[in-house]
Amino acid sequence: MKSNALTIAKKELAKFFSNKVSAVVSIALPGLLIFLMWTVMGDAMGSMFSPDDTKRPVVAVVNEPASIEGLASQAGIDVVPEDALPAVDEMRKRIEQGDAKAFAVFPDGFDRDVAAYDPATGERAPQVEVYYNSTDPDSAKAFSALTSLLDAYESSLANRFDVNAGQGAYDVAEERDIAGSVVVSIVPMLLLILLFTSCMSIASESVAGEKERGTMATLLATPIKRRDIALGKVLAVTLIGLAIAASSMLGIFAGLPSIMQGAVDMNVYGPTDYLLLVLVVVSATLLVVVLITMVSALARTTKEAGMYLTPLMIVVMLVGILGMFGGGAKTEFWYYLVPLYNSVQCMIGIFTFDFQPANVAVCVLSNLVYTGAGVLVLQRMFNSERLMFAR
Amino acid sequence: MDNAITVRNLRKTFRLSAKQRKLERTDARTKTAVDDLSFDVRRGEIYGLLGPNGAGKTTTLRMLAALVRPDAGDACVEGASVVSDPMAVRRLVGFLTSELKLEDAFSPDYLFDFFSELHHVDAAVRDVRKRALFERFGIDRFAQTKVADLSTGMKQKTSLAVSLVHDPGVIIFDEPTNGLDVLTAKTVTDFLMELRSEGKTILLSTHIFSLVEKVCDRAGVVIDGRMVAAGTLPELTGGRPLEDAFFDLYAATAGESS
Repeated sequence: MKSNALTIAKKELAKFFSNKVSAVVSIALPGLLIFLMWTVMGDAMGSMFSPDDTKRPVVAVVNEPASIEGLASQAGIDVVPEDALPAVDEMRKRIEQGDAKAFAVFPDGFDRDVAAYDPATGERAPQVEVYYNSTDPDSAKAFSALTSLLDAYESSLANRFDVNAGQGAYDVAEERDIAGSVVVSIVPMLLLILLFTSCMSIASESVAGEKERGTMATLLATPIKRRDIALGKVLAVTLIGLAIAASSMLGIFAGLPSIMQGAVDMNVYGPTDYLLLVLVVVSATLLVVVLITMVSALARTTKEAGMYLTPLMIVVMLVGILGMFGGGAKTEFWYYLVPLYNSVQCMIGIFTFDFQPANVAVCVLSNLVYTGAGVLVLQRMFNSERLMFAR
Repeated sequence: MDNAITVRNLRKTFRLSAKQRKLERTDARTKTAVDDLSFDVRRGEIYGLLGPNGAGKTTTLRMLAALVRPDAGDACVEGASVVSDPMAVRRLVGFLTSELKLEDAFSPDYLFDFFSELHHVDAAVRDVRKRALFERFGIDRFAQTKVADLSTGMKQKTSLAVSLVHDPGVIIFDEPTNGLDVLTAKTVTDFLMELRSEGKTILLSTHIFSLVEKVCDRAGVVIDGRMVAAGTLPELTGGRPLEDAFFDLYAATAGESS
């Protein structure tokens, strides 16, 4: 009787939501946490790696030639004269203090030498040396400002040809390629781990917890099939798991642009991509829930269930990490028969726009088959006196 | 005579873990909880299984409620075998034991509805039953309170009501008055006699002599998983107090086994 499974599922959901605060927290927290963490991390990284644009770079120059003086002030670089190049330690100190962000040494009589230099002679050209600290964003900015100024000056002396001087967009990489490469490495792993850890507590509570508190026996004394108990519990935990997966996905997609410093645009994915993603996530959630429920049914207490589930969690993490280094989605269909790994492969394929519909179908179907087999095993476990009435 | 429950050569053994073997100081890998037990309960009577702790009373009742399977033998409840048709037995029996707990997160009202749904009780019928039972036990005062916040007595009353959602003809009670204060215990024993007057069959287990003397039509004395005596109270006691008769039986059985 299917309705019994629904009755059980309804009761499980009612129990989960009977504590509104904990229900909201366990569903919303994963997504919110990721979003906040990534936004804060993105901000911190932004200020760490980007220079302060309000300040003009200051460069200390030894033997400043007249030609550079005018160009520098035009380019927004403040030049201060320096008698001789300081020692490395002192340069580092002064860059940190901020009175000079880079140090340049011109050879004596730079302008005269440059004018007289003929590349055809094969002699060494006059050399300018620029010292800076690459770990200080302001110093790096001063360095690049000065060197590009010098490059421009050099070109203006003998301009034979230009490269990429026009206004066109020369980088032909598509937005979706950039998004794909980033999303692929993080999202499947993160999603799988969040899903697993959140379902872990709920499923072990609903099976091992009921055994621990003696309420499972009450259920077993009623005339309902063990299969319906198993189905009802799996259904309820799956629904909660899907809510958690949805919240995690939202958090991930909302947080990605901040952590990637605006390099990703999630709008590259269309409705079909999201629909396939939902299919894969739903089937993966079912499988994860059945796995966790089976392990929980072995345990006598929720504490024991947590202990048994830890190795499984490590496996799930490893599978997720494997996806990060797989080099794109696999094309051979048997990869899509391996539980958990298949879902990661599918997600990678969908995110990189490089998937075969047949493989996604194989993944979803095999997940469903494994889930069905899991429910059968679970039914036998619920029938076992040794497991259900263990002391 | 018309039997509601017939028990024939029922046997149940448990495997002992290494820890349990140490605790019980035995090398035996199994423990026989119920050993070749046979008895009948007539329709409409209250039958008591009397015995010390660990005699196998609870295990026997669990087998009769089709919660665990017997290793050998069989028992029929209203014609349904616990071995071949456990589902029918569960439909026919109301089972109450302190080991069957109710979930803390729910109110008595919710639990009554939930178990009614599992027994496929019609909503209208359910509401009538709920009103009657809740009123009878005074549950209506705390019908919407979470089980977690109820006292032991309130919990026991709720369990009692919930075990009767499907209006079973046969009711199996394990230690019905255990851990209850005198007032609640009286409510329960009064209710047992009320159920009998409605024609229900009741099988209960207890180690309290006064309960047997007060409510039971017939009783069986179980020691070490075996039925050592059975019959009506006069048959069992021969006119003496039940307590004395029991100790004599116990001494005889214990003397036999040692």
